[in-house]
Amino acid sequence: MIRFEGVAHERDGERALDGVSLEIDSGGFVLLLGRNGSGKTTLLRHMNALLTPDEGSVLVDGVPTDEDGEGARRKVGMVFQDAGSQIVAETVKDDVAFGPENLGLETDEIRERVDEAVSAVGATALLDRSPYELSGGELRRVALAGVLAMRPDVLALDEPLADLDYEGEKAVVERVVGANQDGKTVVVATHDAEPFVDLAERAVVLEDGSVAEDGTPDELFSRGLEGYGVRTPCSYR
Amino acid sequence: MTRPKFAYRDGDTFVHGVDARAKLTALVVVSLGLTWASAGVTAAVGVVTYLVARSAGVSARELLRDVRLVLVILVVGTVARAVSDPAGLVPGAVAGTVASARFVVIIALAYTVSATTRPGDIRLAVESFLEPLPSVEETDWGTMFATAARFFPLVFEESRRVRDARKARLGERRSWYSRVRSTAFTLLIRTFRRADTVALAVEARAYSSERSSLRGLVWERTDTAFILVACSVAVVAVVV
Repeated sequence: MIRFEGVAHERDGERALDGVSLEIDSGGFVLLLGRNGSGKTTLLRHMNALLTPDEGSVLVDGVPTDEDGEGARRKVGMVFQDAGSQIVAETVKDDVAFGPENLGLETDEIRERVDEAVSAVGATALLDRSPYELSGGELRRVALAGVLAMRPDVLALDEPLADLDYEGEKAVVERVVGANQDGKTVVVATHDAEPFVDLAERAVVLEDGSVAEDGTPDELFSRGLEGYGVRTPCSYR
Repeated sequence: MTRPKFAYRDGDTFVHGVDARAKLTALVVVSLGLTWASAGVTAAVGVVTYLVARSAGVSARELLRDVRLVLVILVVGTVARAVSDPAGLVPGAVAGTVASARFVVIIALAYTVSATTRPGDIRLAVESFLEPLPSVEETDWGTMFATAARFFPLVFEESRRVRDARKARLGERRSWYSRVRSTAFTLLIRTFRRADTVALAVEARAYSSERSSLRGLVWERTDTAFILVACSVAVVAVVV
């Protein structure tokens, strides 16, 4: 479980998060919605301990992230919005292996996890390719594989469908749903809730760094969220 | 994405197969030897370097295209040496050309090594070199080298993007000074941002100095032979 307790975070003199209190249950599927600059990415980065709160605390399984950042990163795998910038190695295989290597696993175990993760995102054919040769959709799938290979309990995905064509979008959504069905908690920050609206059990809307709305997607979209810069999915129009 | 300059390119050539430790050692040894090399020996090593690069799939055209900025700097250096040498214009130009040629060969060698060696293998090689040293965190140093090897091509990639963005809006019609100024400023900022993102990406995946590795380095007899050849070249460069 992830718990935000009165979290505030300042960036460039402005409050990117302002008193956020939130609980995300294990195994849940949560959408983080809101306009650009509303604090979605900052919130996700707190879950992965890339950022720590200026005020309040973020607890992953009861442990504050500012006390055990590495523990939080082992449990919460994060896929960045710009997937290409997340690739740190020169071949897909080496990049997917990067996380398991950091966990100090044996070579055979790393190999097994790499094969499993690339197969899960349908990227087995890309294993020996250079990231420079991949399309935007392929890069995103590789970035997701790099996180899945660490077998985290939570997937924190920042705009996971940005720049994807229909097939790429479908592949990523299927994998995310599969991970959730396998018991992983999924938190998706997105502008476009359409592909996830029937899958998520909860939606949280951020506005100016605070939680503005929190409920089921059905409740929130029935009321309409255009005022928060969130497009209403077709099924609610 | 276009493959950036100095980036690793996958392959199964002989040079790709040489152990990263052997390649890095050879690079250092031959580079040191070249420091004392005569014009003739420099030219000979240059030819050998070209053949090695060619066998590794690196063409002369790619090499020249990717290092052209360095070549411009060397030409400027050679001219400066020629006009400032107390021995006169011609001896100065000759000395400057030989010095520049040495750099060109060293750069070509480094380019070939970076094009044929995975940053992950560079990490393992650096770790292996530093392992015997007491109180040195070899894993951190190895990762630092590997990250630098990965980051260097990214800077070129950013530079290309900045140039493309400028060209797309008819920026080429501006003066040379204006182009250089705008490119340098934007590139500097983007490079720092990119460095920040790479660091975040490494951190986000639980980087630890207690890490293991998917690959291992295996020393073969051919690697020993490779080192011996490199040492011989260096000795010849110094002695002749």
